[in-house]
Order: sequence, then structure tokens, then C-alpha cells
Amino acid sequence: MSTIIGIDLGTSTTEAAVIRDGKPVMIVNPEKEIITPSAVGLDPSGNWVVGERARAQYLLSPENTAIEVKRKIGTDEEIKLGRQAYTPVKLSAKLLEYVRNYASEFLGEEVTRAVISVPAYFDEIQRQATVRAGMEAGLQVERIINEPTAAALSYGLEHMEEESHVLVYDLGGGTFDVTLLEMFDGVLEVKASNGDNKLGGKDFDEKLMLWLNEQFMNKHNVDLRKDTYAMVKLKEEAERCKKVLSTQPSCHVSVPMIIEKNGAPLALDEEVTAERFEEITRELIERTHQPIDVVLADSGVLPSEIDRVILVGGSTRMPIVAKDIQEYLNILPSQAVNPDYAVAEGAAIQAGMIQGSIRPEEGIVMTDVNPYTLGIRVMDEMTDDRMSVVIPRNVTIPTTRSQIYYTSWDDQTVAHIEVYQGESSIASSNHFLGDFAVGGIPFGKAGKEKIGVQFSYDLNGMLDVKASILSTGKEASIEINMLENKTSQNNRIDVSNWKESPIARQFRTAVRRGEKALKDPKIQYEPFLEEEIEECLYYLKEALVEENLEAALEAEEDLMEVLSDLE
Amino acid sequence: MDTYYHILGLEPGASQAEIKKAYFRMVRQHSPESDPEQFQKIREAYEQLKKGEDAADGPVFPPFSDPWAGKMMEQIDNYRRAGNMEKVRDACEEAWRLFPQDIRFLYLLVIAQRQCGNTGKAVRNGELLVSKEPENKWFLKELAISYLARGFTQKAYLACEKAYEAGCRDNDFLLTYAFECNEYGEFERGKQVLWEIARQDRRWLKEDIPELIEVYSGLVRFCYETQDSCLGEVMEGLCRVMEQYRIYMAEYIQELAELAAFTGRCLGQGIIEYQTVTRAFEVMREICRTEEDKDIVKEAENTFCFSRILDDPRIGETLECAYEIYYELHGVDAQTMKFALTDVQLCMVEERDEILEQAEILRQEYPDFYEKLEDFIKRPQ
Repeated sequence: MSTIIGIDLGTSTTEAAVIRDGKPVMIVNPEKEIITPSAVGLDPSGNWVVGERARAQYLLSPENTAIEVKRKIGTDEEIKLGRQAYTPVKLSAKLLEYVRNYASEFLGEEVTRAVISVPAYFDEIQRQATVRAGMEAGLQVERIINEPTAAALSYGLEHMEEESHVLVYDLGGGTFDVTLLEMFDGVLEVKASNGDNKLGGKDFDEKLMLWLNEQFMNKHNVDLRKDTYAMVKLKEEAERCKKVLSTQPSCHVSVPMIIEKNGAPLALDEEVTAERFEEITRELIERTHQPIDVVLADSGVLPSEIDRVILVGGSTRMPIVAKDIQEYLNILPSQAVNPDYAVAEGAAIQAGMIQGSIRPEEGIVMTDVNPYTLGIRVMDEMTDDRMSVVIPRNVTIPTTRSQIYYTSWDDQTVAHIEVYQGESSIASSNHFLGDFAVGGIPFGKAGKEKIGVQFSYDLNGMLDVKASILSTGKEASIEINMLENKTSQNNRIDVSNWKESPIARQFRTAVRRGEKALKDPKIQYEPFLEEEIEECLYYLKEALVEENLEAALEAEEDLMEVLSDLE
Repeated sequence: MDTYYHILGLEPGASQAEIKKAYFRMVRQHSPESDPEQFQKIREAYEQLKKGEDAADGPVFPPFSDPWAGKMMEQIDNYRRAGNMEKVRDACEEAWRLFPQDIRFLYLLVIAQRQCGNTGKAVRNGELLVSKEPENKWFLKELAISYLARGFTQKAYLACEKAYEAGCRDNDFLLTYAFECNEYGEFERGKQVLWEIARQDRRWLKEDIPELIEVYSGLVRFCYETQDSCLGEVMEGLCRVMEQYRIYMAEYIQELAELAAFTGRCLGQGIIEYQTVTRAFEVMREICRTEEDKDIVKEAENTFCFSRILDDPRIGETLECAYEIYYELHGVDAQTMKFALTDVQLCMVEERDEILEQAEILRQEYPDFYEKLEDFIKRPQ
């Protein structure tokens, strides 16, 4: 079996690690560095450059270089390099390919399998896009692991005998995650995760850039935002200033010639104090409070019961973070041993657990949760678009949950099951995952027939949804691979040779009428009816193939009933 | 229940600490990675037993008279776990018919019948159950709840009283009883019952919070009805709970704000100091997560303030009117508003000396209201 590596694919930087002798070891890149900037670009001759070289190139030719690709992953937005536009998946794949190559070099074997970390609060689309990037880079993605869980694993491996509640506060370059864990007897149990996909160190840079630009406009009446070069310089200075302010009380920002006005160069020259920086970014830090509240409430743990807060992610180096946590939760947080490595190490530990190089009997065992609510669309007195929860968010996985539903109208023969993921009580505002139908419901008044719906969600992101009519035991199901966005209908047999059934003869007319109805131009205005007819036809043919006369007669009757609606 | 303990390798009745230890030990043996199916069973058992902190405290029955009765019990447990109450009911009925010495089946049948909506049968069987052991608090409780479900409120009240006297103290029951006390005007008893919940020294869970807020709402109401000066103590208790469980409270701002606003009615009876309530509003403001929440609290506080002003003997009618115009007059057109304001301002000019005196009180005790009037009052006439 080839070695599985762990990769922390970050907004600003990327790291990789692997298990050696039961412990994670960081992998160095060709520049002999552990940290690789998450930058990808094309050099003047059109060759791909990745990592440090791409980052260096960004200052000189930002139009040929992409940074912070992770912020766009999962969207349709394309990123331009020169004249050509690329998808975020493609650019992330280039980065991962670079990692794969240097890891292969480091290990002396072809690396083809990886565990990749993502923010806990990444949604399925973002996770799927990350998996696709991995596949394009020639990596089989064995597991997507949540970043704070990974960080906790790397912490947990060193503190196995502890019994405590640990809050992992992960403020990275582009995302914020908060996760609450319980460690007990060598088991690391994730109790709840929440976060903000659009909050990270980059937002702090931007706030500072905006403020610097405002000062500049007040002095010179020139807007730097109109000049690409000036903005690149401004960004660089803002990042530097932010870093300086993590250790110094103030920072002098100075760019002698940032822009020209009427042919004369103008200088950016500003003193930024730590207090000033905190003041302009206070609003950002306050946005971390709500996810913290949700995680505490979902896990049923009170602030006073938290034993330790671990800071992960480069942005937690800003003093305002620790200060705010202390004010908000009344706990002094501790910095992870190395906030830049913790996630990659944890991903490698997870890889070791999958591979078996870290054994549950001697090492650490972990349980995780699903961060988003899963449910189906149902009808109630007010609306036909209500989200009915089957698996609530922050439930330990793998898990199986079921709910019982009732027919919504008289003589309903088919139940359509639409599966959604998200926190809105309006189903269609959530993320649609897939749908299927279960037919052959016996006639009766609305609410008479019960339909049992069961969701099973496993560690690999597979969601199995099964629906059954309780009175007849008839079942249908769908399997949704949340990581590859593939769905497959189950329990459907091949019915194309129904005509060969010995009992087919007397049903030919019925089938022909049904199939004719499907071709009827009127049907396109009745998508719902169309589906019902298709369902009935399938069940009729299935009964024929199975040579079940009784079921066939029943299905024929259903079909005729539906067809009479069309006339 | 027995099977949940069994899955975790425990004896029934194990403590919460033992349950937790056993769970984590089992997870090490059957991790979600290595044995997902067994892990799910372990997890379910753990969640059920963790939740059952109170539920585990139920009636104790003698061992089954027959091994087959034990088998039927397993089947009933399976149906219950699958959430199929009708099957639970039918199985209980069958079991009770076959094993009439095992009163446990009758007890479970009463609960199942009630849950399936067969309230008439639940009442009849409940009466039968109680006739067998008239002092059993659990049986009395089930009968009381069955009466309620059937709509026999008078009988329900009396049965609740008996169950309480017999020592029934689980929180669901106490809340139900307190509610009945309210219906029948037995406020003193209701207060006593609710205090038993509020004074429990325990770590409340997130799921308990709605219940806890109901307890405090009930206490406020009973204090109001009985003119009891322990209302201050109630509000202080609420403040403590709100502070300690801050993260769970945000969802219930509306209920909390209404509760505090209601205490305004009690001011005139001299059973509470307004500072206690003001403090509660302060805590609520800290709990709010959104602007809408803050508005809800603000509005409740205004309502409370209005009660205070109406009740304050030092504040005259004119300023009471002014308050009403500023805070309570919603949705009137600009013309009417202007007219009302002018009218009240004229009165203020007429009573200038008294108003100035009262304004000083406002400045110190009602700063928000004072600010609204400040310009007019300071204007030289």
C-alpha cells in the first residue's frame, strides 16, 4: 500500500506531513522549506510556477499570478492568468500537484493518496471542489478532514492522558472555524463545529488597506484602488504592518513612490498604532462570537467548563485574538505548539489511522460530527417548502436517523423525497443534494399512509437516504456521495425486457398508453404528472418482470388513475 | 433501558460517571473508523443513557414472573426505540393480558395508550393501576397526566396533589402540577412547587432551558397573585440563571423580556424594587445576539418604565402623558403626534415649577426619558 500523506491546503500557505514511527513529520519542499505559499502563476514563457517562486512573481506581475485561490473554491468564478481564465479547482490542483511531487521526492516513492484538510464550516460544494482538485493532481483523496479536528488530533496525540474540554479556535488566512472537543481516556470526541467561511487574516489586511487608502485620499485626494501596482504595494505593506503589530506597539508604513499625480510621485507615509489597528478591525473580531456561542450551545458545554482554548492558524498571532477570547470566555488561550504545522500534522495522523500505521489500540481514537443540518422538503399548513430535519447539525457520525411522514393529499400515490443540507427553515434556501420518488402508495385520505424516511451518514461523506411505505413495505433509496457529488438510484431493476414476461400481454395497452402520454406535448406543463407517470410505468414493468400479476394489476390501476388526470 | 446498559457493558443503574467511562472505553474498542456499525449502537446507548439522567429514576418493579414476560419486554423496548408507539401499545396490551401479575405491563400500557391518543382507555387503566398500589407516586402521576389528556381537569388536579403528597418530584410533573395550581387558583401551592425546581442546585442542560424559563414565569405570576415579596428573590435567581447559561438564553429573549416587563405590574404592590428588574434588563442586553433582540429588550424595558412612572407618586399626570406619547404611542400619523406633543408641552409650561422638580427626579432615575424632554425643559420660557 502506498503511503497516505496529510495536506493542509491553506488560503495563504500549504503544508504537508507524513507519519514516521507513529509521529507526524513535516515534509520539506525543494526550497528546503516546510511552508509553501499558496500561490500559482505563469512565468513569461508560459510555464507554471508554484509556491515561493509564484509568490515572488506576484509583486512584479500580479496579472499572471493567483493567490488566495481557496477563497474562491466551490464557486463558478474563474481566475485570469494573463489572457487565459482558470477555475479555482484547476489552480488548486496545480498547487497539490506541486505538493505531490515534492512529497514523492521526500519519501522516495510515488505519492498517490492523501488526506486533505478543509475548514470545518466548508459546505459540500467546497468539499467536492477540493476533492476534484486532488483528483486532478493525481491524488486519491482518502478523506477530507476538518482543520480544527486535525489541529486537535496533533494536540491530542501529545496529550493523550488528559481529560478535558478543549476549544480549538482556528483563524486562518481566509476562514474562521471553532470546534469543541472532549478528550477522555485517549479518545478525542468532536462535540460541535461552527464557523465563518468568509472571515480570516485577509479581511484584517483589507480593513487596514482601506484605512490606509482613506488616509491617503484625505492627504492627496488620490484613490489608490484605481492602480493595480499601488494596490499590490499597499497589500504587501498592510500584511507587513499587521505582522509587525503582533509584536510591536506601532508600525511605520512607508512607500516612497506609490503612485504618480500630475507626473509627480506621491509617498504613502503613515504611522499605525496597535490600538488603531484593533479599532478598525474590532468589527471583524466580533464576528467570531456567534460561531463560538453556537458551538457551546450545540455541545452543551458552558464557558466555565472549558479547560483549554487552543489557537490555530497564523492569524491567531494577532494579540487582539487572545485578548478578545479572554474577555469573552474568561479563559487565557494557549498557542498551539506551531500554529502553522498543527493542521498538516493532524491530517497526517488521520492518514495514519486510515492506513493502520497508527493503531486504535495504542494510539488515539477520534469521533467527528456533521457540521450542517440534513433534511427533506415537506408540506405543512403554511407552505410546501419547509425543511424537515432528519439529522441535526453537530451530531456524531456515522449516524442513522429516521422520521415518519404522512401523505399530503387524498390518494397520493407517489412521495417525492428531496434531500437538502443547510440551516434555513425554508428548504429551497438550503443546498439541494438529490431527490428520488417512492411510488405505489395505496389510495386513501391525506395523512392515512405513513412514509418512513431514513438517513445514514458515514465518515466518508456518504449519505444514504431510504424511504419506505410502512403499510406495504415498498422501498426506494438514493445514495449521495457528498464528496464527489454523485448520486445513484438504488433498488431499481432493469425493466427493459418487460415484454418477454409471460403476463405482459394483457398490460401492453396500458404501457403503450402511459408511454404515449409521456410524449404528449401537454405533459411538459405538468412536470409533476410526468414524474408520476414515469413512476407508475416503472412499477408496472417491474411487476411484469417479476411476474407478479397482483402487483401488475395494482400498478396498472395506479397508472390509469394518473392518466385520467391528464385528460 | 436494560439493553442500553448492556451495550456499554454496564449493570442497570450505573452512575453517569460510569456511563461516560464505559462509553469511551467501548469507543476505543469499536472506533467509528474500524467498526462503524457497532460504534453507532454504542453511541445511541450513550446518548440515551446520558439523556436519561432523570428518566432512569422511575418506578421499580419486581422481576418478571415468567421468562417469556422478559422476552416481551425486549420486544416492547425494540418497538419503542423504533418510535412505533402503536406497536408498543399493542404489545403492552398483549403482555398485560398474558401476564397479569406483572404490573409493569399495565403501567407501560397506560403511557402507550395515552401517547397513541386513546385517552379514555388510558384513564380507565390508570385508575386500575392506582387501585393496585394507591400510594405509588409514579402510578398516581401517570393517572394525573392521563386525566389531563382526557380533559378531566378537576380529577387531574386532585391526582396531582396526591402524587405530590406521595413524593413525586420529577420536573415535568412539578411543572404540570404548578400549571394546574394556577388553573384552580392555588397560587401558594403553585409557588411552593415551582420553587422546588428553581432552587435545585444542578447543571441545567440546553434542553432544560425552556422549562426553566417557564418555571420563572410561573413564579413571577404566583408572586403577583399572592402579593409575595419574594418576587425580588425570583428575579435575582433569574439573573443568576441568565448569566450562567448566557449562551443558551439568546433564543428565548422574547419570553425573558415579556417576563421582566410583566413585573412592572407588581411595582404598585411594593413587592419588588425596580432596581432588581433594571438589572435583569441589563443582563438581557448582554445576552442579545442581534439588533432585533436588542429592540425586543428595549421595548420591554420601556413598558416596564411606563409602569414605574405611573406608579411613582412623585411624577405627575403631565409627565405620565409625556411618557406615553414618547414611548407607547405607536403607529399614529405625524399630525396627531404633533398635536399630542404640543398639548403636553402646554401643560408642562402651566405647571412649570412642579415639572422642574420632577425633571430632576427623571434626570437621576429615568435618564432615557429625561433626555427626550431635556431640550424643552431647559428652554427659557
